[in-house]
Amino acid sequence: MKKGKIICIALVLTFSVGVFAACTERTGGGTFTYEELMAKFDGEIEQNATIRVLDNQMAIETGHLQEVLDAFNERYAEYNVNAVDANMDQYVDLEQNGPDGYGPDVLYQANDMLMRYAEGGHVLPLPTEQLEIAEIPQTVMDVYKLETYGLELYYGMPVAQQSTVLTYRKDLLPENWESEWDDNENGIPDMVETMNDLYAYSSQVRQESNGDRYGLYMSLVDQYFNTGYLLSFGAYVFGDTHDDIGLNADGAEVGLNLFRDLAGALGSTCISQNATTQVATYLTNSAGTAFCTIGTPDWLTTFQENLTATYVREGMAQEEAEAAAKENLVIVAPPRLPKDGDITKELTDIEEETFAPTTMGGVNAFGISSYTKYPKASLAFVKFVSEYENLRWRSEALGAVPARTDLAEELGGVSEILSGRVSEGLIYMMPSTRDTQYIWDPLSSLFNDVATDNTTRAVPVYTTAELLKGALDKLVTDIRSAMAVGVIS
Amino acid sequence: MDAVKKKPRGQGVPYQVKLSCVFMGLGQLFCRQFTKGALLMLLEVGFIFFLVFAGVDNIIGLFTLGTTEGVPIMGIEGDNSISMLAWGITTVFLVLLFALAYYANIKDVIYTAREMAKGNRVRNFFESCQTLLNKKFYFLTLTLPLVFVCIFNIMPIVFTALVAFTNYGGEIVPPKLVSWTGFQSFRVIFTMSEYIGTMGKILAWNILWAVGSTFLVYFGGLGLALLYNSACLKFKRFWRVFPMFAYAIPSFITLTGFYFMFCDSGPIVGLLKDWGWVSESFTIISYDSKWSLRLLGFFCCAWIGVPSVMFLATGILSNVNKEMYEAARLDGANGFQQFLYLTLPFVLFATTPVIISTFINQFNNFSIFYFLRPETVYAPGYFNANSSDLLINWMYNLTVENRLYSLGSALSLILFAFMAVFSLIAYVTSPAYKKEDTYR
Repeated sequence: MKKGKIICIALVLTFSVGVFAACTERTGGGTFTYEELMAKFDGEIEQNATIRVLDNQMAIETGHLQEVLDAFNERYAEYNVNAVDANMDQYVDLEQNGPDGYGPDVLYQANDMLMRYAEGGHVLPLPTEQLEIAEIPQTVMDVYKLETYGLELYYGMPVAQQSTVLTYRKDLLPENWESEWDDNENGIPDMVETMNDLYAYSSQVRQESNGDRYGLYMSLVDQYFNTGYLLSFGAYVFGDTHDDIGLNADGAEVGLNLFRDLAGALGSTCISQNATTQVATYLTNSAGTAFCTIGTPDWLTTFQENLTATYVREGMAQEEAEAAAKENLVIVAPPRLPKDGDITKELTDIEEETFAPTTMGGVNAFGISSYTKYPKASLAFVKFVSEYENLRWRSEALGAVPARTDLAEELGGVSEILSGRVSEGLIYMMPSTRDTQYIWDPLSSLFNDVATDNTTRAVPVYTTAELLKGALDKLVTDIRSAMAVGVIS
Repeated sequence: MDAVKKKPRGQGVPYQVKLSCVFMGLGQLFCRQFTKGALLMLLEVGFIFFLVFAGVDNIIGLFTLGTTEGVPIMGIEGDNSISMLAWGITTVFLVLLFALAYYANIKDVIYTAREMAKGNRVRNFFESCQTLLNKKFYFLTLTLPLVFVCIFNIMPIVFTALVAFTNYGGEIVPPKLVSWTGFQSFRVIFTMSEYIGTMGKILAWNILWAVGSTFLVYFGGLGLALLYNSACLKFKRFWRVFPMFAYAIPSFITLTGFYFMFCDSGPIVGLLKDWGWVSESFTIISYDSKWSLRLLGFFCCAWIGVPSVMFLATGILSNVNKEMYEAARLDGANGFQQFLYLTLPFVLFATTPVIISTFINQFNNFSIFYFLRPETVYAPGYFNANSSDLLINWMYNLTVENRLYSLGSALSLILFAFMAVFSLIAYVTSPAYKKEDTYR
C-alpha cells in the first residue's frame, strides 16, 4: 500500500511539474533589420572553409560541376577555400538534414523547393546589392521574393529558367512536309507549330506503324508539362490568397478536354512517368520510335549524346555524328493551341484560329543554407557562378536557359525563345510557396484519370464539358483537403 | 488468547538498509562491502549530476516541447521540439532504469544485512561478481539484450506513439515549435470525411488481402510440399530448385519484374492484344485498375511467399508418423481423408505461429503494391491513397510523401492495436495454444 502511495505521489508530482512547465510562455525569434540579417556576409571570406555544393544531376554527370568547383577553388586559393560536390541526392531534404549538419552549404533548386525552405527559414536571404541582378527580369526575381520581418528579401540567385519546349527530329520529318505539312508556308512544319497538326500527325504515325511508332511521345501524367493546357485556357494555381485556387476556373475544362483528346492519340503507354525516361531512347534510336517530345530545354544535351551514339553505331565518325545530332535535334516553342480547344479539327487559318500557349515555368537558383558555417565563402560561390561568363559556361555545357536576358539574347535559339515567352507573359511561374507541394499529387491523379478515360477505360466518363469541370472541381477539393490537413497536422 | 502485537513499522530494519534507502551504496559501505558500495554511490552521484545538468531539462522539455523558436537565418538555434521529445523519452527510460537499480541496491543490502545477522561472512566484491557470473548468469545474458531492445525497439515505438499526440508534420516542422494536441490526429482520422471514408475502404481491403494472401501462401506452400513429398514424383531435387529461385531472388526485384511484365507497355499485355485474346483497351495496371491489380498482387504474393512455407512444411512433413497413415489406410481412409484428419491437424499445430506471423506480414505488406503501382496516383473516393493501397501504403503516403507525421503515427497506433488484438485472439484460440500436449 505504501509503495503504491509513493508511486502515485511521484507520478502526480512529475505530471504537475510537467504541466506547470508546459504552461511556460513560448517566445518567437524576434525581428531583425536588413543590416542585421546581412551582417553574416560582411567582411573577408573565411579561411580554410569547406563548402558543400549541391547541383543537379546533369551538372554532376557531365562533369560541369567539378570544373566549376575547380575554377572557384583556384580563384579563391588565397583563402584556401575548398568547394566540393555535396554528393547528395538532388532532392535532399534541407528541413530534415540541415539542422543536423548534413545538408549542403550552397544548393541549386527550383523556386518551389527553394522558397519552401525559405518559408521555413532554412535558406538565407541574399544581399542582392552584391549580386549581378540588373539583367534579370523582375518577374523572374519576384519568384524568390519573400516578405520577412517586414522586409522584401530575396532568397535565391536566379540562374536558369525552365519551361516547356518541343524537341523534334528534323531527319524524321516526312519527305513531303513542305508541300503537305506547311499550310501557312512559313518554313516551319505544321506538326511542330500547332497542336492540331501534331495531333493529326501523331495519329497518322501510330496508325501507319500499327502502334509501334509515335509522333509525339511524352508522359501524360507529368503535372508540370500538362498543367499548361489548363493555364492556357484561364486556369491559375493560386490567386491573391491560397484560399483562391483557380485550377478549375471557367475555361479550364476546355484545356482538359484538349488534353484528353491528345491522350487518345498518344496511347496508354504514355500514362506513366516511365515515358519521361523512355523518351530519351525513343527520340534518339535508329528506328525513330518517336518524332518529337514536349519537355524542358535541358533535355537536349542528353538527346544529343544519345543520337550521336546512335549515329556512331550506324557507322558515322564521332565528329560527323555530333554535328548531325546537333543539326537534327531542333527545339521550338510549344505548339500553338486552337482557340476553341478542339485539336481534332483541321485548321484553315493558323494565325486566326490558334494562340500561343501558356506553360508552367520555373526558375532555378542558387541559395545558401541557413545552417552553413561559412556564409561568406558560400556567397562568394553564388557570386562566382552567377557571373556573366560563368552563366554562359553553364548554359553551353548543360543547355540551361539563362535567367539573364542579355545572355539569353546573345545565346539565341532556345534561350531567346524562352526569354521572349517570359517577356510576353506566356510562362506561368510555379508558385513559390510551401502550399505548392499540395498541388502535384492531385494534378497527377487528374491527368492519369482523364488520360485513362480516352485510352483504356471501357466506358469513358468524361464525355461532356460539365463532367470535365466536375473533375477539375474535385481536383481543387482534393488540394484544399490536403492543405487543410497540412495545417491541422 | 493473547492478541498478536503488531510490530511497529521500521522497527527491526537494519540501519544499513535504511542508509541504502537514503543513498545508494551507503548501507553496503557499512556492511564492509567497500567496492560495491563505492560503485553504487558513484552511480547515484552520476545520476544526480545527469539530472542536474540535463535530466530535469529533458523531462521539462518532454512536456513543453520547447519554448524558444529558432531563427536559423540569424544562427539562433532555438529549441528543437523533436530532439526534446526524443531526449525526454530517453531520460524517462534512464530514470526507470535507475529506479530499478535503486530497488536492486535495497534488495542487495537487505540480503547482506540478513546474512550478517545470521553471523555469516559477508561476500567481498570479487565473490559477488563470481556469484553473478555463476549463479545469476541468466541475469547477465538477458540484461544486455533487454537494454538493446529498450534502445532500438521500445524507445522508437514510444516516440512514434507520442508523435501521434502532437501536431508534428505538415506546416509544423522544426524550427517551428511542435505542440501537444492530445487526440487531435485521431479526431482528424475519425471525423474528417476524407479520412474516415478512405480508412474504411482500405481497412476492408486490407483484411481481405491479409486473409486471402495468408490462405494462398499457406495452402499453396503446403500443397507444393505435399506434392514434392509424394512417392510418385521423380527427380524431386530437380523440381525443388525452382521454388528456391523464386525464394532466393530479392522480392523487390521480382516485383519490379512483374510490373514491367504486366504494365501496358510490357510483353504480357502486348502478346494478349497481338493474339486478339483481349480488346485493345485491355489493361492490368492502370489508373482504373482495381481488381486486376489486386489479383496480380495475390499472384505475386504467392510467387514470393509460397516457397518459404513449402520449405517449412517439407521439414514438418518429414517428421510425420508414418504408422498413423498406415493405420488410416487399413481403416479405409482415402488420400483426402488422410490429409484432412492427419496431415492438416499435425501441420496446423506446428505452424500456427507461422500462420499468425504470415498474416501480420501480409497485413503490413508494403512492397507488393508499392512496386506494382509505382506511380503516385490517388483514386476517386480515396484521400492520398489508391484502391490497391494497404494501410501501410497509405501510412507511407501520409508520412513520407506528404509529411503528415502525426497523422501517420496515429494511423500506425490504430494499426498496432488492431494487429495486437488479432494476434492475441488468434494465438489463444489456436490448437497450438489449446492442445499443447496433443502431439508431445
